[in-house]
Amino acid sequence: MKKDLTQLEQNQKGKIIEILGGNTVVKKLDSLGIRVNLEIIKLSAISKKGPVIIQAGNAQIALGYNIAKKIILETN
Amino acid sequence: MKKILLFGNPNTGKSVLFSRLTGVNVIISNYPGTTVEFTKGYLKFENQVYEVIDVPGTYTLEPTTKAEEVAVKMLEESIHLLNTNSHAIIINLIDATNLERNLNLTLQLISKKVPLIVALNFWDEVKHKGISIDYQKLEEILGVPVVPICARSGEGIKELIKKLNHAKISNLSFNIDQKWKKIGEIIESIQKVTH
Repeated sequence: MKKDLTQLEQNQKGKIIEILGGNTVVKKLDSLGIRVNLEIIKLSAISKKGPVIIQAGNAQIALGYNIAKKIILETN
Repeated sequence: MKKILLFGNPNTGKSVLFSRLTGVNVIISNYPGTTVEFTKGYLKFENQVYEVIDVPGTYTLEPTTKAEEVAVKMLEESIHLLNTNSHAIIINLIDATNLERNLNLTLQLISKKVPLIVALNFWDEVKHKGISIDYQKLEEILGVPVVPICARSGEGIKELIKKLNHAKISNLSFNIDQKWKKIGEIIESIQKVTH
């Protein structure tokens, strides 16, 4: 099922299939190692429209709500 | 005077290493993004004085924040220095517990054709986490000296200083669009995780 990162449940796994948004967003995420085809786990979200924390490999990364909205994942 | 630039991702201990090398006290905190402006210090080794520069942490050479802009500008200045036959060395500090993200910057530095030394920091933490990294193989693959260090305890700093004169321009070639694939290949061949 296709979902964006904010719609994922806590501790749910997903595979990134698309990053919506311009060059700046894609490059910024790329520099953090977040890219298409990467499997991540959503660890938590702070309040309703707060930052989302994900686990990507060994690193935990916090992403702002608006950037999280742009990351589209495939979940089982 | 030779210039040494400390490059690396945020929160990889560049400032700690800087203090170790020069004895200059800089603000060190346990969160990323502490160094926004750069700091200079001097290191004397075998009658040669080196100017060491602590560069703000950057994830990429395509700047997205103020600190990254400073870092990229300093890299460009050192490339300019190299073109005028001056000496500049770049020490790329890597968080060895998080190779994938850190090698991204390493590959970008390699593609800029600058004399490079790679320092694998947090070497004590790597052992704790049950990760084993074949750094000699990494040295072979990258074609530049790789030194495991622990900046906090000072382990490996001597070896790093001894290798300063061995800094090399890597001739590793790869397609920048497929850097993640390349990084994946490198990690697969050098890193083993046991629990």
